Amino acid sequence: MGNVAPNASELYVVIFSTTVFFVFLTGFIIYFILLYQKRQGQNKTERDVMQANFRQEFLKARLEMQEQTFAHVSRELHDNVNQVLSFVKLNLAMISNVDSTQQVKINENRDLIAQVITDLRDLSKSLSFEHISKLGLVKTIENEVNKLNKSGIINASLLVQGDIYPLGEQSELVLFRIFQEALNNAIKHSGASLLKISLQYVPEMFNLTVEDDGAGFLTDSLDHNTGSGLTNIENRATVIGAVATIKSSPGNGCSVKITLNLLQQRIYN
Amino acid sequence: MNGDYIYAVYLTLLLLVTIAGLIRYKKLSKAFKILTVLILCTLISESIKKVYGKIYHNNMPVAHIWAVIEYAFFSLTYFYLLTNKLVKKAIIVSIIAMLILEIVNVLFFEKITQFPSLILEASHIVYVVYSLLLFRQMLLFPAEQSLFKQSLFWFNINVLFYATTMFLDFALLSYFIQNKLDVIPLAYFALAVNFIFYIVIGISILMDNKKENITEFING
Repeated sequence: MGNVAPNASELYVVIFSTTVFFVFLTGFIIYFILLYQKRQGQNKTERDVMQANFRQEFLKARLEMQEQTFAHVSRELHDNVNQVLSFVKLNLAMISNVDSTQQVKINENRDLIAQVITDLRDLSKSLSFEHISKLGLVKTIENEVNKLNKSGIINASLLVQGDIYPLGEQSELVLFRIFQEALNNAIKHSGASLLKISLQYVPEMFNLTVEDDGAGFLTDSLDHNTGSGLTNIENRATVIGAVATIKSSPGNGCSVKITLNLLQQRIYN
Repeated sequence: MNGDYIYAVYLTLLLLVTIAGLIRYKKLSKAFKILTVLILCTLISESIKKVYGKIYHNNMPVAHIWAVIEYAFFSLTYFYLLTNKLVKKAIIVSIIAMLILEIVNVLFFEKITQFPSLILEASHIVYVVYSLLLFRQMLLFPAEQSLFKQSLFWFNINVLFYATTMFLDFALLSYFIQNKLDVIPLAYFALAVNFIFYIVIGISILMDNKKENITEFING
Protein backbone atom coordinates (compact mmCIF):
# COMPACT_ATOMS: atom_id res chain seq x y z
CA MET A 1 0.00 0.00 0.00
CA GLY A 2 2.70 2.52 1.02
CA ASN A 3 4.76 3.80 -1.85
CA VAL A 4 5.82 7.31 -0.77
CA ALA A 5 8.78 7.44 1.60
CA PRO A 6 8.12 9.81 4.52
CA ASN A 7 10.49 12.52 5.66
CA ALA A 8 13.25 10.90 7.79
CA SER A 9 13.11 13.54 10.51
CA GLU A 10 9.31 13.14 10.72
CA LEU A 11 9.73 9.41 11.18
CA TYR A 12 12.26 10.03 13.95
CA VAL A 13 9.75 12.31 15.67
CA VAL A 14 7.08 9.62 15.41
CA ILE A 15 9.42 6.93 16.79
CA PHE A 16 10.65 9.26 19.52
CA SER A 17 7.10 10.28 20.49
CA THR A 18 5.98 6.65 20.63
CA THR A 19 8.99 5.73 22.79
CA VAL A 20 8.37 8.68 25.11
CA PHE A 21 4.73 7.65 25.37
CA PHE A 22 5.55 4.10 26.47
CA VAL A 23 8.32 5.26 28.83
CA PHE A 24 5.90 7.74 30.40
CA LEU A 25 3.17 5.11 30.72
CA THR A 26 5.57 2.61 32.30
CA GLY A 27 6.97 5.32 34.59
CA PHE A 28 3.48 6.27 35.69
CA ILE A 29 2.59 2.65 36.50
CA ILE A 30 5.81 2.11 38.49
CA TYR A 31 5.28 5.42 40.32
CA PHE A 32 1.71 4.44 41.17
CA ILE A 33 2.76 1.01 42.47
CA LEU A 34 5.48 2.53 44.69
CA LEU A 35 3.16 5.27 45.96
CA TYR A 36 0.38 2.77 46.65
CA GLN A 37 2.69 0.47 48.60
CA LYS A 38 3.92 3.46 50.61
CA ARG A 39 0.32 4.43 51.41
CA GLN A 40 -0.47 0.83 52.33
CA GLY A 41 2.46 0.91 54.76
CA GLN A 42 1.30 4.21 56.27
CA ASN A 43 -2.24 2.88 56.63
CA LYS A 44 -1.01 -0.28 58.29
CA THR A 45 1.02 1.76 60.79
CA GLU A 46 -1.99 3.98 61.55
CA ARG A 47 -4.20 0.93 61.98
CA ASP A 48 -1.67 -0.71 64.30
CA VAL A 49 -1.47 2.45 66.41
CA MET A 50 -5.28 2.60 66.60
CA GLN A 51 -5.47 -1.05 67.61
CA ALA A 52 -2.76 -0.54 70.25
CA ASN A 53 -4.62 2.50 71.62
CA PHE A 54 -7.88 0.57 71.70
CA ARG A 55 -6.20 -2.33 73.48
CA GLN A 56 -4.66 0.13 75.94
CA GLU A 57 -8.02 1.76 76.67
CA PHE A 58 -9.66 -1.64 77.01
CA LEU A 59 -7.04 -2.82 79.50
CA LYS A 60 -7.32 0.43 81.47
CA ALA A 61 -11.10 0.07 81.67
CA ARG A 62 -10.75 -3.54 82.78
CA LEU A 63 -8.24 -2.63 85.47
CA GLU A 64 -10.40 0.25 86.66
CA MET A 65 -13.34 -2.11 87.02
CA GLN A 66 -11.14 -4.56 88.89
CA GLU A 67 -9.94 -1.81 91.23
CA GLN A 68 -13.53 -0.75 91.90
CA THR A 69 -14.40 -4.34 92.79
CA PHE A 70 -11.35 -4.60 95.06
CA ALA A 71 -12.30 -1.31 96.75
CA HIS A 72 -15.85 -2.56 97.29
CA VAL A 73 -14.68 -5.87 98.76
CA SER A 74 -12.15 -4.01 100.91
CA ARG A 75 -14.84 -1.69 102.31
CA GLU A 76 -17.20 -4.61 102.95
CA LEU A 77 -14.47 -6.51 104.82
CA HIS A 78 -13.56 -3.48 106.88
CA ASP A 79 -16.98 -1.97 107.56
CA ASN A 80 -19.16 -5.05 107.68
CA VAL A 81 -17.42 -8.41 108.23
CA ASN A 82 -14.82 -7.06 110.65
CA GLN A 83 -17.48 -5.18 112.63
CA VAL A 84 -19.58 -8.33 112.99
CA LEU A 85 -16.55 -10.36 114.03
CA SER A 86 -15.62 -7.70 116.61
CA PHE A 87 -19.16 -7.86 117.94
CA VAL A 88 -18.95 -11.68 118.19
CA LYS A 89 -15.62 -11.37 119.99
CA LEU A 90 -17.18 -8.88 122.41
CA ASN A 91 -20.15 -11.16 123.02
CA LEU A 92 -17.83 -14.05 123.79
CA ALA A 93 -16.00 -11.87 126.30
CA MET A 94 -19.29 -11.11 128.04
CA ILE A 95 -20.20 -14.76 128.63
CA SER A 96 -19.99 -15.52 132.33
CA ASN A 97 -21.01 -18.30 134.71
CA VAL A 98 -19.18 -20.98 132.76
CA ASP A 99 -16.86 -23.63 133.99
CA SER A 100 -13.10 -23.47 133.38
CA THR A 101 -13.14 -25.93 130.44
CA GLN A 102 -15.74 -23.87 128.61
CA GLN A 103 -13.87 -20.67 129.47
CA VAL A 104 -10.75 -22.11 127.82
CA LYS A 105 -12.77 -22.94 124.67
CA ILE A 106 -14.28 -19.44 124.65
CA ASN A 107 -10.83 -17.86 124.98
CA GLU A 108 -9.49 -20.03 122.16
CA ASN A 109 -12.40 -18.93 119.96
CA ARG A 110 -11.80 -15.27 120.90
CA ASP A 111 -8.13 -15.65 119.88
CA LEU A 112 -9.14 -17.25 116.60
CA ILE A 113 -11.63 -14.47 115.88
CA ALA A 114 -8.97 -11.88 116.75
CA GLN A 115 -6.64 -13.59 114.27
CA VAL A 116 -9.36 -13.58 111.58
CA ILE A 117 -10.02 -9.89 112.24
CA THR A 118 -6.30 -9.09 111.86
CA ASP A 119 -6.05 -11.16 108.66
CA LEU A 120 -9.15 -9.57 107.19
CA ARG A 121 -7.86 -6.11 108.06
CA ASP A 122 -4.61 -6.89 106.27
CA LEU A 123 -6.50 -8.28 103.30
CA SER A 124 -8.73 -5.23 103.26
CA LYS A 125 -5.66 -2.99 103.27
CA SER A 126 -3.97 -4.89 100.44
CA LEU A 127 -7.12 -4.56 98.35
CA SER A 128 -7.71 -0.90 99.15
CA PHE A 129 -6.48 1.65 96.63
CA GLU A 130 -6.55 4.39 99.25
CA HIS A 131 -4.36 2.41 101.61
CA ILE A 132 -1.73 1.69 98.94
CA SER A 133 -1.65 5.28 97.73
CA LYS A 134 -1.43 6.52 101.33
CA LEU A 135 1.48 4.26 102.29
CA GLY A 136 3.30 4.31 98.95
CA LEU A 137 4.69 1.40 96.95
CA VAL A 138 7.79 0.66 99.04
CA LYS A 139 6.01 0.64 102.39
CA THR A 140 3.12 -1.47 101.06
CA ILE A 141 5.48 -4.06 99.58
CA GLU A 142 7.50 -4.00 102.81
CA ASN A 143 4.34 -4.79 104.80
CA GLU A 144 3.50 -7.65 102.44
CA VAL A 145 7.04 -9.07 102.78
CA ASN A 146 6.80 -8.89 106.58
CA LYS A 147 3.43 -10.65 106.52
CA LEU A 148 4.87 -13.35 104.26
CA ASN A 149 7.85 -13.94 106.54
CA LYS A 150 5.58 -14.05 109.57
CA SER A 151 3.32 -16.59 107.91
CA GLY A 152 6.26 -18.88 107.20
CA ILE A 153 4.90 -19.80 103.75
CA ILE A 154 8.01 -18.48 102.02
CA ASN A 155 11.21 -16.73 102.97
CA ALA A 156 11.05 -13.31 101.34
CA SER A 157 13.63 -10.53 101.18
CA LEU A 158 13.26 -6.98 99.97
CA LEU A 159 16.03 -4.82 98.55
CA VAL A 160 15.45 -1.15 97.76
CA GLN A 161 18.16 0.61 95.77
CA GLY A 162 18.46 4.31 94.96
CA ASP A 163 16.60 7.35 96.21
CA ILE A 164 12.88 6.63 96.43
CA TYR A 165 10.69 8.97 94.40
CA PRO A 166 6.93 8.82 93.75
CA LEU A 167 5.89 7.02 90.55
CA GLY A 168 2.34 8.32 90.52
CA GLU A 169 -0.71 6.81 92.25
CA GLN A 170 -1.90 4.86 89.21
CA SER A 171 1.52 3.39 88.39
CA GLU A 172 2.26 2.47 91.99
CA LEU A 173 -1.09 0.73 92.30
CA VAL A 174 -0.53 -1.22 89.06
CA LEU A 175 3.03 -2.11 90.15
CA PHE A 176 1.70 -3.35 93.47
CA ARG A 177 -0.92 -5.48 91.69
CA ILE A 178 1.85 -6.90 89.49
CA PHE A 179 3.86 -7.68 92.61
CA GLN A 180 0.80 -9.42 94.12
CA GLU A 181 0.30 -11.43 90.93
CA ALA A 182 3.97 -12.49 90.84
CA LEU A 183 3.81 -13.38 94.53
CA ASN A 184 0.65 -15.38 94.01
CA ASN A 185 2.24 -17.29 91.12
CA ALA A 186 5.35 -18.07 93.15
CA ILE A 187 3.37 -19.35 96.15
CA LYS A 188 0.71 -21.26 94.20
CA HIS A 189 2.65 -22.81 91.34
CA SER A 190 6.42 -22.72 91.81
CA GLY A 191 6.89 -24.43 95.16
CA ALA A 192 9.62 -21.88 95.91
CA SER A 193 11.17 -21.44 99.35
CA LEU A 194 12.98 -18.17 98.65
CA LEU A 195 11.65 -14.97 97.15
CA LYS A 196 13.79 -11.94 96.32
CA ILE A 197 12.07 -8.65 95.69
CA SER A 198 14.08 -5.74 94.42
CA LEU A 199 13.01 -2.15 93.83
CA GLN A 200 15.55 -0.15 91.88
CA TYR A 201 15.14 3.61 91.66
CA VAL A 202 17.49 5.15 89.11
CA PRO A 203 16.95 8.53 87.41
CA GLU A 204 14.25 8.24 84.72
CA MET A 205 14.03 4.49 85.25
CA PHE A 206 12.38 2.22 87.80
CA ASN A 207 12.76 -1.57 88.03
CA LEU A 208 10.71 -4.00 90.07
CA THR A 209 12.10 -7.54 90.15
CA VAL A 210 10.50 -10.56 91.76
CA GLU A 211 12.68 -13.69 91.69
CA ASP A 212 11.91 -17.12 93.13
CA ASP A 213 13.87 -20.38 93.39
CA GLY A 214 10.92 -22.55 92.40
CA ALA A 215 10.37 -25.21 89.75
CA GLY A 216 10.45 -22.79 86.84
CA PHE A 217 8.90 -23.39 83.44
CA LEU A 218 9.50 -22.98 79.72
CA THR A 219 8.55 -19.42 78.79
CA ASP A 220 7.79 -20.58 75.22
CA SER A 221 4.98 -22.77 76.58
CA LEU A 222 3.12 -19.73 77.93
CA ASP A 223 -0.29 -19.33 76.34
CA HIS A 224 -0.82 -15.60 75.84
CA ASN A 225 -4.51 -15.98 75.07
CA THR A 226 -5.77 -17.78 78.13
CA GLY A 227 -5.37 -14.89 80.56
CA SER A 228 -2.86 -16.58 82.83
CA GLY A 229 -1.23 -14.72 85.72
CA LEU A 230 1.89 -13.96 83.70
CA THR A 231 -0.20 -12.61 80.83
CA ASN A 232 -1.99 -10.42 83.36
CA ILE A 233 1.40 -9.12 84.47
CA GLU A 234 2.32 -8.24 80.89
CA ASN A 235 -1.05 -6.58 80.27
CA ARG A 236 -0.89 -4.54 83.47
CA ALA A 237 2.65 -3.41 82.64
CA THR A 238 1.48 -2.28 79.20
CA VAL A 239 -1.23 -0.13 80.77
CA ILE A 240 1.34 2.08 82.55
CA GLY A 241 3.81 2.01 79.67
CA ALA A 242 6.15 -0.42 81.39
CA VAL A 243 7.84 -3.49 79.97
CA ALA A 244 7.52 -6.89 81.63
CA THR A 245 10.39 -9.33 81.15
CA ILE A 246 9.67 -12.85 82.34
CA LYS A 247 12.62 -15.25 82.48
CA SER A 248 12.37 -18.85 83.54
CA SER A 249 13.53 -22.35 82.74
CA PRO A 250 12.70 -25.70 84.34
CA GLY A 251 14.55 -26.09 87.65
CA ASN A 252 15.89 -22.53 87.68
CA GLY A 253 13.05 -20.56 89.22
CA CYS A 254 11.41 -17.54 87.69
CA SER A 255 12.26 -13.87 87.42
CA VAL A 256 9.68 -11.19 86.67
CA LYS A 257 11.18 -7.80 85.90
CA ILE A 258 9.10 -4.69 85.32
CA THR A 259 10.94 -1.78 83.77
CA LEU A 260 9.24 1.56 83.85
CA ASN A 261 10.65 4.30 81.71
CA LEU A 262 9.53 7.44 83.47
CA LEU A 263 9.30 9.47 80.30
CA GLN A 264 6.88 6.91 78.86
CA GLN A 265 5.07 6.71 82.17
CA ARG A 266 4.43 10.48 82.04
CA ILE A 267 2.96 10.08 78.58
CA TYR A 268 0.66 7.26 79.67
CA ASN A 269 -0.52 9.18 82.72
CA MET B 1 -8.06 -16.28 5.18
CA ASN B 2 -5.33 -15.18 7.58
CA GLY B 3 -7.56 -12.31 8.68
CA ASP B 4 -10.49 -14.67 9.23
CA TYR B 5 -8.26 -16.94 11.30
CA ILE B 6 -7.12 -14.06 13.52
CA TYR B 7 -10.73 -12.90 13.84
CA ALA B 8 -11.76 -16.39 14.93
CA VAL B 9 -9.04 -16.41 17.59
CA TYR B 10 -10.23 -12.96 18.71
CA LEU B 11 -13.85 -14.16 19.01
CA THR B 12 -12.68 -17.30 20.86
CA LEU B 13 -10.83 -15.12 23.32
CA LEU B 14 -13.97 -13.04 23.88
CA LEU B 15 -15.98 -16.23 24.32
CA LEU B 16 -13.53 -17.60 26.90
CA VAL B 17 -13.58 -14.35 28.89
CA THR B 18 -17.39 -14.33 28.74
CA ILE B 19 -17.55 -17.94 29.97
CA ALA B 20 -15.11 -17.14 32.80
CA GLY B 21 -17.28 -14.15 33.76
CA LEU B 22 -20.53 -16.11 33.64
CA ILE B 23 -19.10 -18.98 35.71
CA ARG B 24 -17.90 -16.55 38.39
CA TYR B 25 -20.87 -14.19 37.99
CA LYS B 26 -22.28 -14.64 41.51
CA LYS B 27 -18.88 -14.04 43.10
CA LEU B 28 -18.20 -10.89 41.09
CA SER B 29 -18.68 -7.34 42.31
CA LYS B 30 -21.33 -5.21 40.55
CA ALA B 31 -18.72 -3.48 38.39
CA PHE B 32 -17.27 -6.75 37.17
CA LYS B 33 -20.76 -8.16 36.53
CA ILE B 34 -21.33 -5.24 34.18
CA LEU B 35 -17.92 -5.86 32.66
CA THR B 36 -18.91 -9.49 31.99
CA VAL B 37 -22.09 -8.35 30.26
CA LEU B 38 -19.97 -5.86 28.26
CA ILE B 39 -17.65 -8.64 27.06
CA LEU B 40 -20.67 -10.77 26.14
CA CYS B 41 -22.12 -7.84 24.18
CA THR B 42 -18.70 -7.25 22.57
CA LEU B 43 -18.69 -10.87 21.43
CA ILE B 44 -22.18 -10.48 19.94
CA SER B 45 -21.37 -7.12 18.31
CA GLU B 46 -18.09 -8.37 16.84
CA SER B 47 -19.91 -11.40 15.41
CA ILE B 48 -22.64 -9.18 13.95
CA LYS B 49 -19.96 -6.84 12.54
CA LYS B 50 -18.35 -9.76 10.72
CA VAL B 51 -21.63 -11.03 9.26
CA TYR B 52 -22.84 -7.50 8.43
CA GLY B 53 -19.52 -6.73 6.75
CA LYS B 54 -19.73 -9.88 4.64
CA ILE B 55 -23.29 -9.07 3.53
CA TYR B 56 -23.09 -5.28 3.06
CA HIS B 57 -19.29 -4.89 2.67
CA ASN B 58 -19.37 -2.16 5.34
CA ASN B 59 -19.92 -2.78 9.02
CA MET B 60 -19.53 0.84 10.15
CA PRO B 61 -23.24 1.27 11.12
CA VAL B 62 -22.72 -1.48 13.71
CA ALA B 63 -19.49 0.22 14.84
CA HIS B 64 -21.36 3.54 15.34
CA ILE B 65 -24.06 1.93 17.48
CA TRP B 66 -21.56 -0.22 19.37
CA ALA B 67 -19.29 2.74 20.17
CA VAL B 68 -22.05 4.37 22.23
CA ILE B 69 -23.14 1.10 23.89
CA GLU B 70 -19.55 0.23 24.79
CA TYR B 71 -19.04 3.68 26.28
CA ALA B 72 -22.21 3.30 28.36
CA PHE B 73 -21.07 -0.09 29.69
CA PHE B 74 -17.58 1.13 30.56
CA SER B 75 -19.05 4.20 32.23
CA LEU B 76 -21.41 2.04 34.26
CA THR B 77 -18.48 -0.17 35.32
CA TYR B 78 -16.64 2.91 36.60
CA PHE B 79 -19.90 4.19 38.10
CA TYR B 80 -19.76 1.24 40.50
CA LEU B 81 -15.99 1.39 41.00
CA LEU B 82 -15.77 5.10 41.83
CA THR B 83 -17.29 6.25 45.10
CA ASN B 84 -17.36 10.03 44.75
CA LYS B 85 -21.01 11.10 44.33
CA LEU B 86 -20.15 14.06 42.09
CA VAL B 87 -18.11 11.82 39.79
CA LYS B 88 -20.99 9.32 39.68
CA LYS B 89 -23.38 12.08 38.57
CA ALA B 90 -20.83 13.21 35.97
CA ILE B 91 -20.60 9.63 34.64
CA ILE B 92 -24.38 9.46 34.09
CA VAL B 93 -24.35 12.88 32.40
CA SER B 94 -21.43 11.81 30.20
CA ILE B 95 -23.38 8.77 28.89
CA ILE B 96 -26.18 11.07 27.74
CA ALA B 97 -23.64 13.57 26.35
CA MET B 98 -21.90 10.80 24.41
CA LEU B 99 -25.23 9.71 22.89
CA ILE B 100 -25.95 13.28 21.79
CA LEU B 101 -22.39 13.60 20.44
CA GLU B 102 -22.89 10.43 18.38
CA ILE B 103 -26.14 11.75 16.90
CA VAL B 104 -24.45 15.08 16.05
CA ASN B 105 -21.44 13.19 14.68
CA VAL B 106 -23.59 11.05 12.37
CA LEU B 107 -25.65 14.03 11.24
CA PHE B 108 -22.83 16.53 10.63
CA PHE B 109 -19.32 14.96 10.72
CA GLU B 110 -18.90 11.23 10.14
CA LYS B 111 -21.58 9.47 8.14
CA ILE B 112 -23.01 6.17 9.37
CA THR B 113 -20.91 4.39 6.76
CA GLN B 114 -17.66 6.04 7.95
CA PHE B 115 -15.39 4.93 10.81
CA PRO B 116 -16.62 6.59 14.06
CA SER B 117 -13.19 7.95 15.00
CA LEU B 118 -14.54 11.07 16.76
CA ILE B 119 -16.70 9.17 19.22
CA LEU B 120 -13.98 6.55 19.82
CA GLU B 121 -11.31 9.18 20.48
CA ALA B 122 -13.64 11.06 22.84
CA SER B 123 -14.43 7.78 24.63
CA HIS B 124 -10.76 6.91 25.03
CA ILE B 125 -10.00 10.31 26.54
CA VAL B 126 -12.82 9.80 29.06
CA TYR B 127 -11.56 6.27 29.84
CA VAL B 128 -8.15 7.74 30.70
CA VAL B 129 -9.88 10.22 33.03
CA TYR B 130 -11.90 7.40 34.65
CA SER B 131 -8.75 5.37 35.08
CA LEU B 132 -6.85 8.25 36.69
CA LEU B 133 -9.79 8.96 39.01
CA LEU B 134 -9.83 5.33 40.10
CA PHE B 135 -6.07 5.39 40.68
CA ARG B 136 -6.57 8.47 42.85
CA GLN B 137 -9.33 6.73 44.81
CA MET B 138 -7.13 3.67 45.28
CA LEU B 139 -4.39 5.88 46.72
CA LEU B 140 -6.84 7.60 49.06
CA PHE B 141 -8.28 4.32 50.34
CA PRO B 142 -5.56 1.70 50.00
CA ALA B 143 -6.69 -1.86 50.67
CA GLU B 144 -4.80 -4.28 52.91
CA GLN B 145 -4.53 -6.80 50.09
CA SER B 146 -1.42 -6.81 47.89
CA LEU B 147 -1.87 -4.52 44.90
CA PHE B 148 -1.01 -7.30 42.47
CA LYS B 149 -3.80 -9.48 43.85
CA GLN B 150 -6.41 -6.77 43.30
CA SER B 151 -8.68 -7.16 40.28
CA LEU B 152 -9.29 -3.43 40.41
CA PHE B 153 -5.61 -2.66 39.80
CA TRP B 154 -5.28 -4.98 36.80
CA PHE B 155 -8.54 -3.79 35.28
CA ASN B 156 -7.68 -0.14 35.72
CA ILE B 157 -4.12 -0.39 34.50
CA ASN B 158 -5.47 -2.34 31.53
CA VAL B 159 -7.98 0.41 30.69
CA LEU B 160 -5.27 3.07 30.99
CA PHE B 161 -2.94 1.09 28.75
CA TYR B 162 -5.70 0.31 26.22
CA ALA B 163 -7.15 3.82 26.05
CA THR B 164 -3.82 5.62 25.74
CA THR B 165 -2.31 3.08 23.33
CA MET B 166 -5.36 3.05 21.08
CA PHE B 167 -5.37 6.84 21.11
CA LEU B 168 -1.74 6.72 20.00
CA ASP B 169 -2.68 4.15 17.37
CA PHE B 170 -5.38 6.45 15.98
CA ALA B 171 -2.92 9.33 15.85
CA LEU B 172 -0.29 7.20 14.09
CA LEU B 173 -2.93 5.84 11.73
CA SER B 174 -3.85 9.36 10.72
CA TYR B 175 -0.13 10.19 10.15
CA PHE B 176 0.47 6.97 8.18
CA ILE B 177 -2.53 7.58 5.93
CA GLN B 178 -1.44 11.20 5.31
CA ASN B 179 2.05 10.00 4.38
CA LYS B 180 0.70 7.02 2.44
CA LEU B 181 2.60 4.56 4.62
CA ASP B 182 1.72 0.92 5.05
CA VAL B 183 -0.95 0.79 7.80
CA ILE B 184 -0.82 -3.01 8.19
CA PRO B 185 1.71 -2.84 11.11
CA LEU B 186 -0.64 -0.45 12.90
CA ALA B 187 -3.57 -2.78 12.32
CA TYR B 188 -1.57 -5.64 13.86
CA PHE B 189 -0.50 -3.33 16.67
CA ALA B 190 -4.15 -2.47 17.41
CA LEU B 191 -5.02 -6.15 17.25
CA ALA B 192 -2.24 -7.02 19.72
CA VAL B 193 -3.43 -4.25 22.07
CA ASN B 194 -6.98 -5.62 21.83
CA PHE B 195 -5.78 -9.14 22.58
CA ILE B 196 -3.80 -7.92 25.61
CA PHE B 197 -6.80 -5.88 26.74
CA TYR B 198 -9.25 -8.78 26.71
CA ILE B 199 -6.74 -11.25 28.21
CA VAL B 200 -6.08 -8.91 31.15
CA ILE B 201 -9.83 -8.30 31.52
CA GLY B 202 -10.23 -12.07 31.72
CA ILE B 203 -7.53 -12.26 34.39
CA SER B 204 -9.15 -9.45 36.39
CA ILE B 205 -12.54 -11.20 36.17
CA LEU B 206 -10.93 -14.39 37.47
CA MET B 207 -9.32 -12.46 40.34
CA ASP B 208 -12.34 -10.39 41.33
CA ASN B 209 -14.20 -11.21 44.50
CA LYS B 210 -16.98 -8.97 45.79
CA LYS B 211 -16.10 -9.85 49.40
CA GLU B 212 -12.59 -8.45 49.00
CA ASN B 213 -13.49 -5.49 46.83
CA ILE B 214 -13.34 -2.35 48.94
CA THR B 215 -15.46 -0.30 46.54
CA GLU B 216 -18.24 -2.88 46.81
CA PHE B 217 -18.11 -2.38 50.58
CA ILE B 218 -18.20 1.40 50.29
CA ASN B 219 -21.01 1.35 47.71
CA GLY B 220 -22.99 -1.03 49.92
